[in-house]
Amino acid sequence: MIQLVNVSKTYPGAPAPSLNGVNLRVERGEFVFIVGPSGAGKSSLMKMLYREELPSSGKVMIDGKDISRLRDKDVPYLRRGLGVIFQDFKLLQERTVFDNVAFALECTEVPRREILRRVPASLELVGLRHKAHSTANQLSGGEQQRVSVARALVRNPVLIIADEPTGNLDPDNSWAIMKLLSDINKMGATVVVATHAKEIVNEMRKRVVAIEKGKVVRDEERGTYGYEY
Amino acid sequence: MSIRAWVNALRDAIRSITHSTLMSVASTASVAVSLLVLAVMLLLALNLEYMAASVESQVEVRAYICAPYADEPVCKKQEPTAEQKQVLVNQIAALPGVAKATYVSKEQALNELKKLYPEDSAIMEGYEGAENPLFDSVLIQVKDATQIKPVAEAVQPMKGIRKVNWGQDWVDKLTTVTHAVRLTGIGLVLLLVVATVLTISNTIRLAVFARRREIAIMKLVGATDWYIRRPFMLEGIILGLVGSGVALGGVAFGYAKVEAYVRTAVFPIIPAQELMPGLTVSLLLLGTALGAIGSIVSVRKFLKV
Repeated sequence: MIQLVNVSKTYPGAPAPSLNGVNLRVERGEFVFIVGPSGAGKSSLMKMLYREELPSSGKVMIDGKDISRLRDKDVPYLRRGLGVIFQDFKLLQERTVFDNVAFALECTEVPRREILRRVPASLELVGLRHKAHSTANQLSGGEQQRVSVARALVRNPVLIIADEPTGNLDPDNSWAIMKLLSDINKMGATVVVATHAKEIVNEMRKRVVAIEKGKVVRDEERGTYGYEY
Repeated sequence: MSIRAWVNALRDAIRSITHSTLMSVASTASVAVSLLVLAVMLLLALNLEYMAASVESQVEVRAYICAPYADEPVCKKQEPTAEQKQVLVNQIAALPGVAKATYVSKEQALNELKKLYPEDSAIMEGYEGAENPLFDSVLIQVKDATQIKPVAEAVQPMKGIRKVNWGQDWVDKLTTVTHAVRLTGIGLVLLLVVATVLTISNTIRLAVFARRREIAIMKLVGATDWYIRRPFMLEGIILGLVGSGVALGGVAFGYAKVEAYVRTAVFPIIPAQELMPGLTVSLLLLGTALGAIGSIVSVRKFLKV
């Protein structure tokens, strides 16, 4: 599903590379935690996956295609196959829950009938169908993140990329979101989660890839968080 | 592209226009002023050319015959005899390029004057007979406008000709003015076009800025650049269209007034119904283009994610 080959990234003006010769392989249907101290390069790695950033060198393969060599105008079509979830939810605050989820379909010109069928199903999955007509800013943080998960899910993506999805949430809501991601994984999607949620990582016992100073320093099946913070 | 996507984009565009009323009005006004100046310059240049052409086509050469009271040295204070005058007329008529040469006596000339200014005919009574200060002349009609100069130059040195009058200085002056109008017009319009594009792009930039979160999300969920650009393009185009509509209204109104006024002054002027269709189409197209260009300029930056 994902294959990083010798990926390095140096931001202009930065003293050290954010990523330094990273090799990583994630198979279809895997669930992977990316852990590591702040500034270790987790976010850079995640951004490579949905081509927000381009590697300075190396290859980022998704489904066998090197997306770092994708033309700009083909990037939207790559992203339509991905579900991306952020720490800050990235919702349209003054729009309704329904609109926020529908938005992902509307702006890729999915027919209206299809939208009316798929959005409620997706909201059902995250347990927010009853809130469809509330605006995003009326919801709690946990609920907002569930909306953003619903938005990621609504297109049945093969790959979910979550960059610190629980960073702004309390433990209960964090658990709820992680369970949700785990459920989605069981339904067949490949899920990559960058996180600092030590307890959850330790409890869930999934594959853990640790990154420090731009390098993969540990890669364990059924791993643990391994840091004190 | 579905109709729905267009409807959505149009709704977004209108929402944005009404949301930032002041900037929208400024952009519209800017388009209107630029296009108005453009149109006025264009109409002025076209009409001057039209005037020059019609003056040129009407130009007749008039050769005045010497009289004892003429100041020109060539006349030597003498007047040709009636026979000599007839010979002169025949000579002129025989020149190449001359269609017709008619002798006009100074009495006829005075009568024409009376007819032209009936209210002053009483004053002109005083100049009848020996008091007539006018000159006998030969009215020369040329075969076409290009013959005016050669004919005039051929007639000038003939014996007994006081001087030759023709419209060339008029035509020259008109051409100079037309040139100047065209140059200042082009300069002014270019400046205003740049200013308009900047104003529109600023308005759109604000609209884009207000929706930057939305745009970022659109990019993340895989909206194409064209999808994102569309509402802003539409907004620019609407502003441009409304602006050009205002300019058109102004021009149509103003031109009708000028036409009515100038008509009575016997000036040649291009009738409105000949000008308006072309002007309407070009102003609307220009307004649309200005709007579209203005919005493309400002959206381009924000699309780089």
